Amino acid sequence: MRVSGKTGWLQNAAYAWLMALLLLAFFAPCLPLQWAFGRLDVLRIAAPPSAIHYLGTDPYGRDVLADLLLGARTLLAVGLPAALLTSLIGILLGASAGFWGNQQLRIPSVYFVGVLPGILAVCVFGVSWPVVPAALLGLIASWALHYFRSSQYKIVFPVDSIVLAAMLWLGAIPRIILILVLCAAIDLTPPALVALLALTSWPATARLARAEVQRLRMLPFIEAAKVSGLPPIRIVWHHILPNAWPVLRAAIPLNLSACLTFQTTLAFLGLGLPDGATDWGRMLSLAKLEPTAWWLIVFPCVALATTFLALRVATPTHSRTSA
Amino acid sequence: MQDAPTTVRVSWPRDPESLNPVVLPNAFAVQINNLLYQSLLVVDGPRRRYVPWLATALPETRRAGPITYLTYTIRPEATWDNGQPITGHDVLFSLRVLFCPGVPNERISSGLSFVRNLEIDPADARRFTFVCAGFAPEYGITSGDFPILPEYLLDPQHALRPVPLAELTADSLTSASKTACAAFAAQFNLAEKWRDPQQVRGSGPYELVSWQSGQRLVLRRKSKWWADKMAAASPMLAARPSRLEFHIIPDPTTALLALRRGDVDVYPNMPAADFERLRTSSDAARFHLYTPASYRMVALEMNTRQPMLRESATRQALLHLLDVPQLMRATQYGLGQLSVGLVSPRERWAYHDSLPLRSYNPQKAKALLRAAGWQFTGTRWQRHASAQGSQPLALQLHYRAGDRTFETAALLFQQAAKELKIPVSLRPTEASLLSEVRRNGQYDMVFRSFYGNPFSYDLRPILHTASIGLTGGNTSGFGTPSSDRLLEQLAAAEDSTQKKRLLHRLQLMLYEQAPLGVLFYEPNRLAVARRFADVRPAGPEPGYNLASFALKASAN
Repeated sequence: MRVSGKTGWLQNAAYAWLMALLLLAFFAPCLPLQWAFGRLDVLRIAAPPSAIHYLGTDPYGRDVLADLLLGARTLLAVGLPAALLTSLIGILLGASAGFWGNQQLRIPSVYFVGVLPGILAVCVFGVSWPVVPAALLGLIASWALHYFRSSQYKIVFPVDSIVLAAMLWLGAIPRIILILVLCAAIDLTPPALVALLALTSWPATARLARAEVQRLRMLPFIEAAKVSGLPPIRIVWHHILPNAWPVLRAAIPLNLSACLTFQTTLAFLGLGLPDGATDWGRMLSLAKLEPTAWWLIVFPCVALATTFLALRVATPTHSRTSA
Repeated sequence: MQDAPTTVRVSWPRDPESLNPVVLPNAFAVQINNLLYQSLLVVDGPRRRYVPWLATALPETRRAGPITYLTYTIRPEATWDNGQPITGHDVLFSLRVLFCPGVPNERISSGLSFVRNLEIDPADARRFTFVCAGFAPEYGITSGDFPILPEYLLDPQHALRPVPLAELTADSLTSASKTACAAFAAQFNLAEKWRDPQQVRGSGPYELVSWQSGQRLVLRRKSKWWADKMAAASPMLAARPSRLEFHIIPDPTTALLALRRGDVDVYPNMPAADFERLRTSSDAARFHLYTPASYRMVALEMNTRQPMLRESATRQALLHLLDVPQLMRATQYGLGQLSVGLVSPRERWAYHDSLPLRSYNPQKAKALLRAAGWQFTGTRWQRHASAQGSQPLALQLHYRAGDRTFETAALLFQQAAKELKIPVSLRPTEASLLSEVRRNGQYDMVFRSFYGNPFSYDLRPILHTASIGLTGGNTSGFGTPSSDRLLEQLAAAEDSTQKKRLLHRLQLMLYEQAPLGVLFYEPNRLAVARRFADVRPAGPEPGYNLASFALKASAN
């Protein structure tokens, strides 16, 4: 299999847009904008594009251009880490499930003993500081037990079934409903939103990683590595993942696109970041306050559509070629 | 007399929260309460005065030393739904409920604190006399402005009957009375009771059909109502629509769309932008559009129990960060009226016009912050607090989510505070949750509405220390012995000259202490489908008389 990249002006344009977005978001505070970020111009509420506000103002008198740039920062500040975390979780879980299956991962029983103090502490104290010393105590105890070889008994850990069950569970509940429920339960800060997006978006990447690793582990050079006694972690890290990477890297822009879409949807529903954080989705939701203000729909929509299109075009495609 | 069956559908931005006639958490609950229950007197909005409702006339007043006697007679036609006549015994029962310990009645009972006893004429149970401590001209109206409750429904076991009203008003209950009150309160406070159409019934013209919280509340005209016999006796005894539906539509855009599509007929308190859009659209011809000056004010309330906001200088400083004229331009489209406090400028005799309107003045805000002990470190304001080390000035600002006026005000305030390096985090909150947050004192500052009226200036329910608590209306926690004394004097003022003097003192005190800053009085922007007549738009809440609505002859 080989990865074939699109070439030509379309891909160059996509890269250029993404790069420009990144640079504008990063250097937004330094830009010589006529109207400062978040500043209200209450004399020009929902005003159309003009020489003062190039892209008009929203129903609160904020400059749409400034908000688009600020929104890009918010989008990337949350969407990018969320996409990277999603990819990381998906690849790790998918690769584990694909490589070890249900029978291959055997964990010394002492490690399970080691996590007991931590679980007990969580049950008694909840998620609070006593969990940390309890978890440390558990780790030290399990290391000591393992070191002195007090127990050689190993437990088969059905990692594939567990990952598949988690994917099934997450797939069974509509993601928007799951996130709405979680949003009601927790205070959405940027790290919380990143975690929320990542923890609900990883199955697609995991499925891809699992399938690719299952294919790779049957190949002769992996069998040879196993026979030669290489540790499984080393096989995965040095032989499986590098060979799976051309396929897996395609998941990153797709994950970014998915996270941005979801982040925007949440913001549109008023469930995104708190404290008046500007977001393209939130900008779009303001259009309903002034239905005749076309500039509130057109400019954020163009920015969103171009970004998603660019991410789609920039995603490397792969094709199988027979040797 | 009932006309042809008519359904009137009203758009509401939020739920009434409770239909308990003693609790009445918001203006929507009050509106429903006035359709289900009746009081002795009622406000005739367009005429801006109290008129008899259950009573035959305004009370006869007689003074004897420190005691005032107010005598009412209930209309002979007035009956409960079971046919029993409404008598002084029902008024006595209602007063017992309003003073019963354990019942969340603080808000309503504080307005009746002058009542000592009720004497029923042995010869005519419909005639009775309030025995009141002291005298104030308002006693004549406030004594008749509370719901008369049916004893046969709410206390069929007569648990409260043995409890003398004099004991309840003097707060000197015997142990037997305490036991009786506790037993009654336990039954009365059951939440499910106040959703049950069989229990939520008064002498009013309507009965509850259904209430789905956050969605819809439906009332139906009683097939037989006692005032049917009194056709055209008073506009306040008219009840024409056969069915009233209150649709909860929190989003103003959706509410406007529903109005334009004909899904609702009445949209009160419209946001200014939507009202202007409707006024200038081709749909305007389909609606009556009114803008009566209301007694609803937009205010910034501060939690004086928060250590940061304990000093009046800090509170004053924060009020100087509000550019109210600019806010009014942005949100009210030129309508509305600036005010220095809780008294409407329309009430010229009572309004303290010598007080200057508080201006947007960051420099003065800085000076006031320094006077309150805050020091600017270059990046933030802080002061030394012995218990917690240094205390930074960082505030949370709550407001009702989706309300454009509040949101604009909050953003403007945040922007002004940011220039002074005071971090303000905005907390748009759902309406019923916000009520809970305010009741529990879990806020620093909140933008909210206050509903006033031109009749009574008894501000104890929102400013007296006795009203602080989970069921009280003083959510800012403000109060000092001198402010309490002033409020009590005001409630007992015997003539308008004394009342004016006390009101001026109160406005000055509130201006200096600044537990809340009134920004402006809003007009009631009201749209009603043109097929209805007799809307009777008015200043006092709710700003229209739903029961008097009638289909125009051409629409029949």
